[in-house]
Amino acid sequence: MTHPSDAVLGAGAAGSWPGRGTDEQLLAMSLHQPEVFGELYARHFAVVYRYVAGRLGTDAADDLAAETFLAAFRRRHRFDPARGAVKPWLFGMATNLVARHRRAESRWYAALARAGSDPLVAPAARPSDEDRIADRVAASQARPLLAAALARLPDRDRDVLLLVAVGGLSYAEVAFALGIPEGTVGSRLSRARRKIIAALDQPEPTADGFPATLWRN
Amino acid sequence: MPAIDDLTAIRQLLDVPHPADEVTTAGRARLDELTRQGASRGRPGRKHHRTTSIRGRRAGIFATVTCVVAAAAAVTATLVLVHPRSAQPGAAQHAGRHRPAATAPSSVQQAILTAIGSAGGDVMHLTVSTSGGPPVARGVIQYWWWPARPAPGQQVRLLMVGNGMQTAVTFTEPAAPPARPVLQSIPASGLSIDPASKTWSTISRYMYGGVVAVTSRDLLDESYLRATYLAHSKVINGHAAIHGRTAIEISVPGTPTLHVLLWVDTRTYLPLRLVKLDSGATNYPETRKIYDYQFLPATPGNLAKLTLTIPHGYQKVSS
Repeated sequence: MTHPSDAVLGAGAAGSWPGRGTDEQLLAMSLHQPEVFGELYARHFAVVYRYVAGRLGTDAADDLAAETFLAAFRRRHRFDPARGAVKPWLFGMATNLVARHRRAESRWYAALARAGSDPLVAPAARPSDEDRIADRVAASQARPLLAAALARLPDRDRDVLLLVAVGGLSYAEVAFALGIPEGTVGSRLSRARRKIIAALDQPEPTADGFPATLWRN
Repeated sequence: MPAIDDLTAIRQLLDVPHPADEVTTAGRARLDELTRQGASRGRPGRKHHRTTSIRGRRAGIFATVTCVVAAAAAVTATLVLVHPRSAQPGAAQHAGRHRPAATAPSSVQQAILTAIGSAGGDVMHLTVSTSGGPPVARGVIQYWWWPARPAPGQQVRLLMVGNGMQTAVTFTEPAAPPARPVLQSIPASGLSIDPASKTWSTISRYMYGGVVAVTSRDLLDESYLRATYLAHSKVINGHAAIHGRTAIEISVPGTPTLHVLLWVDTRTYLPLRLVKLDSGATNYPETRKIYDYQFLPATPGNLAKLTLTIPHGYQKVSS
């Protein structure tokens, strides 16, 4: 009997999966070739780690990022490619794990607010780019306010906001990750950003919903 | 005119570096453990198996973590330099003793101890290769030793080949082994052959606590493994995983010039190779001792390797 994933990848594809196939194809293959799941780990561990670490700190992320993939592996037979892609699915699991550590998340934001950081010490990607340095200065000055504002957000709003801002997911992907309608994603994101902006005492959102920038020289 | 939006500001606030190789490797090891379980069950797992947490490993690293991280590049270079042999007959013969993958130092330590315990009745073949250090200590010596992990009072057979001599000796494992590195002369019986002079002699004493005691016995002794820190376990750029090995750095308290690396079989957790790098002797090049282990079932064929036969025409001399 030929497994659907074999048909997708072609005859003889089994055993030559690294670097080949979409995430969804690999996940399907992993149902009968569990080791294939390792390729998904290789592809996505770093981004999931950075998402979790951004919300809980690196110490917690060391465990929880790996836990995300363990949970995903255990539940891989429930994944429905018709509903969404693997990446947001992984982010959804990571978000669920983060949700079990809300107090740690609050402590992390408090630590971020307290931590002094000299943006000029860190080398910029393009040292001559004054704009980037100025951006860092602005972000550094706003750090305590921003961290405090994030900590105050309702959990569900913060989940949406950080999946977009840190995870880089689209509305549709966030909707899939969290199992909510896209419209709900939009409303939660709008609400969260308004609170962030208000906390930073920035100009009111423009007609399209948000200011183009927060800091202007 | 510089300007950033709120999402960029959040991104910068929560920006963290990419995960360290150690973190990625540890996570992958946990996943591999689970995928192996998944494969053995034949379908996606429904039962949640607890896997070893990296938190425990971090807690066990103690103060050694700093020097481990600082020396990471050098360690990697060393590991590549002393690349172990690829074929391991002993490991192959222990294929039925597979252990689940372990990542935390405590679990790795326990897995090694368990593996050694299961191989305690085996014949151990040990090859000790010494380079650097005082010239007199350099060379290669082979040992066959049975049982690999003798109990006090148990009879031990040992065959040593090296330094131009062949020696077979039988002795009783002392009830209370001397504290290292004290040597203890104990009653023994055996013979020694000198191929160069074509002579042989009998042996009535054995210096217990000699080179074997500070190599194999160290490794096979629980108190030693428990007293040392299994500070670092990693798969080196995938090579160790490909060849079924994992490398572990052992930190020996109070010996800052001693750098110990241990390779174990990732399937059985039996030791494969131990490397000791000692830079403490300032008058000589760094001493490098490589101990290669094979654990062989105590079959008649393997036990026969412990027997020394006097070649025809050799003359007996007084011991």
